[in-house]
Amino acid sequence: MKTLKVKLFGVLTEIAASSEVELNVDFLESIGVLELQAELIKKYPAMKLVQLKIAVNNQFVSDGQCHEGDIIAVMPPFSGG
Amino acid sequence: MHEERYKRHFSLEEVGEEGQSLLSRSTVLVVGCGGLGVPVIQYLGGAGIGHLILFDGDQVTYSNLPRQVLYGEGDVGGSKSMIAAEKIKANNSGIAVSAFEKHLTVEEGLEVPWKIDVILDCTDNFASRYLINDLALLIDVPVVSGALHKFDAQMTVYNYHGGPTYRCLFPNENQRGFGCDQVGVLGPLAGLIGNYMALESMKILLKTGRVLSGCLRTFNGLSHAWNDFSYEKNEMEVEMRKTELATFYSKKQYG
Repeated sequence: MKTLKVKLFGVLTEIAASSEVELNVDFLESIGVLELQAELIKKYPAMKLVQLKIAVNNQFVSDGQCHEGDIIAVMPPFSGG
Repeated sequence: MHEERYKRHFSLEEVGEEGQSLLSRSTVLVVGCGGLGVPVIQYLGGAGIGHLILFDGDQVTYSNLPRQVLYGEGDVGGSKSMIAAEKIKANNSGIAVSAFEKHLTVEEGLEVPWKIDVILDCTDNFASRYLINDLALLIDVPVVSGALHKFDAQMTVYNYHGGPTYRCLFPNENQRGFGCDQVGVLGPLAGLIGNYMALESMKILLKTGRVLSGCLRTFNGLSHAWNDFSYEKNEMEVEMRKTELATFYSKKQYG
């Protein structure tokens, strides 16, 4: 089991009541970002209703892998103005 | 008066008289005359952008006044776009302002009879954000986009010289949005981001500096954290969308 730190933004910080959360996930070398997203939604089901964009080391990705130590961020679009 | 008014611009190597002349020949479409739109209009108008086109179908309310500081108590109930046009013209008589007391649609954007150089997305809902993206794609114009959620802000420039679009960043348009009216906002954050957007649009017009294309910049007003995230163009999706839109709107126009 490995612990990944995930930065959250906007409404996601309200759902998780924090701007950074830890996810305990089981993987060897790396985990797919979609799998990571599923883990996040499992922990915080309300996030299922929000469009989530995942960034690995400050690069948004729609697929691909993340590794232990990567900087992971999850971003929703904001609509206010 | 012109010489005196813009003399601080003339002193800047990146602007100068040539740059000021470029600004004075530019046309900018500002969509939304609220929290983000007000500073955008004030600074672009003051700076001598030749022609501002304003779209907003809303009226001024008392709850707007803390952040939409162009309006006063006497303006409550009046049209935001009309009042903004009048006030910015009073600041700078040398510019043209065309105000539309309605919310923008793609069709109306296509019917605007002037060549637009930059669009500023100062709206407060997702439907408008996606339609601005589509309009920009159709008329091949860059968009400076700002968005707020409580103390968080996002900024980016898209559709810049064929760069990624808003849909490359957030492809799913069917989602619930949270406007400032629902979740709250402190005025200075809207002012800060609106000013940032105005600066970014002037850089595009002046063809100077680094533009936030393919980069989503975030700011949190509580923690001071700035973050940059890069995103890429989804070439195939953009081309498909452009074709779909061109077909759809040409059919609408010509039956």
